[in-house]
Amino acid sequence: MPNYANPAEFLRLARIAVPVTAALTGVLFAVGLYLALFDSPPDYQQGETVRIMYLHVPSAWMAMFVYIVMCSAALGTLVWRHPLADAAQKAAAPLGAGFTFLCLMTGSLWGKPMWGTWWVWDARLTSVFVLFLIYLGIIALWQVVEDQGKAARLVAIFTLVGGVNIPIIKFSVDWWNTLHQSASVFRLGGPTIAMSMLWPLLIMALAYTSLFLTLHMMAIRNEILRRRIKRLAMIAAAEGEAAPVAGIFPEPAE
Amino acid sequence: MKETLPSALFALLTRDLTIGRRIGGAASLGIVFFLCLVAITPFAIGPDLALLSRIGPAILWIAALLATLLGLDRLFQAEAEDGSLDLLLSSSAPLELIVLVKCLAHWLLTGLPLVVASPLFGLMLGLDTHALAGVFVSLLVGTPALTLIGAIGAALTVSLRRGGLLLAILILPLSIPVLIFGVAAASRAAGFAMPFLILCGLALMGLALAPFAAAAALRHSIE
Amino acid sequence: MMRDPNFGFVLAAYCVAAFVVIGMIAGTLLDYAALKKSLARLSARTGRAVDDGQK
Repeated sequence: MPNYANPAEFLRLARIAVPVTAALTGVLFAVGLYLALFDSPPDYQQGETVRIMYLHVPSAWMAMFVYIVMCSAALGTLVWRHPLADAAQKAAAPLGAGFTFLCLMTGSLWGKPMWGTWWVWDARLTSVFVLFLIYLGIIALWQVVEDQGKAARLVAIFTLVGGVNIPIIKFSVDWWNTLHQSASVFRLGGPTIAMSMLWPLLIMALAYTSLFLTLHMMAIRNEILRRRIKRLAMIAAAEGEAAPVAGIFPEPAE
Repeated sequence: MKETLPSALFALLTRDLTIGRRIGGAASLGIVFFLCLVAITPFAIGPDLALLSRIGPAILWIAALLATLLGLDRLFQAEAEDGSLDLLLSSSAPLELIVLVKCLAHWLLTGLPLVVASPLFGLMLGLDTHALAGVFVSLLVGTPALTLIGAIGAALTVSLRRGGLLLAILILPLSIPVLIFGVAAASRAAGFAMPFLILCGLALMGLALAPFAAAAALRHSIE
Repeated sequence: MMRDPNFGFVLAAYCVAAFVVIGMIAGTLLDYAALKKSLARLSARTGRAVDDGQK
């Protein structure tokens, strides 16, 4: 592996990369939002409501993408035992939950005018909802296990178990949904999508991805700093000058 | 004294069953909890037997799911507290097999009694013979799958003092497929064979994968 | 666009998205600022305690 796997090297890389990706995110969002809001046609059937799609569909993609990122980081934790992989896992979980929450909220706001109800137990909505629950479980597991190295390995196992399960859950929910198909459900997104709608969708997806990469790097940096603070707090405590830093409890060495 | 692998595992099984029988009768408690869940449902929904018989399989399945969850947080915790888990970890028998044996013991103590009692409770919910058989068979295959999935959660939360609630949060989303196909097979909404076969597949997959995940989680929890 | 009967839903969706995205950004930045501050305070303190030690 390259030197970027070293936390100090990562901090140096992040100092350069974060401003670049942040600027890229800003540009992509500016273009994407302009296309989505002003330079794309209203749908002949859904009218202006189709504009919610440019928020909703990319966030659903991100909800899955972030999970894949977490699975790769989980492998890094279990196979190579790398502290940076631990930080990458921990940093990704709240972001994934955020994108999934965004997907559910915009889906609900899209469903109300289209389906006439805030929530339907549609297969896709239900699967995303279950994914959201899994994200919350992962965050909860991070919070309750005190030793962060151990937490990383336990979360990694659960993330991988969830990763095996998610396709099964998706399949089951699809099957369950056809079993209980309600007649009046409006089918979202046909097989074809007009070019004029595809472009804003793709640019918004890129903007979301770039946003995630930026925030992920920043959050990994936070985790590295948090670890450093713990180590310093322990040194201070060992020197007999217990430094009460707000919210940080010294803990035994890993 | 050198133990062979089968006899060591058998000794573990009998030990777990003996402990389970002596301590507060886990089996009878599980059934009483199951009974309570079945009993409170009509109070929530109303005593309409036609409605109850329609949703009866679902009620029984949810009750079985919750009753299985109830005892799972103790699956490895008692051993972790008195230190015998360290012995199990350092024994020559593979940890995966040990986990499997412990799951078997747990299922024999909590899952099997529920399965046996389910037709009785089904009668109270006004299920007909067909549905009773469906619930019985689907629970017979489904509860081991629930125990195996739950073992992963139990292993992940073994070092936590109050892991029970977290265990439920981790495990319930993962048990959705079992619930879907179990209830579908029991209520025959889509025929019996297809969902039942998928349920069998899920149980076999749990049998093949869960011991490895649970054993890995145990190793990382205890070290 | 504003005449569409469902304009309110579109607006609400974009507001929710802005809220969530800004929330994630602000959360990360505030965390960073807090960590930086305690890191500075701590290294000053340990710097006094251990002159030759960890930096």
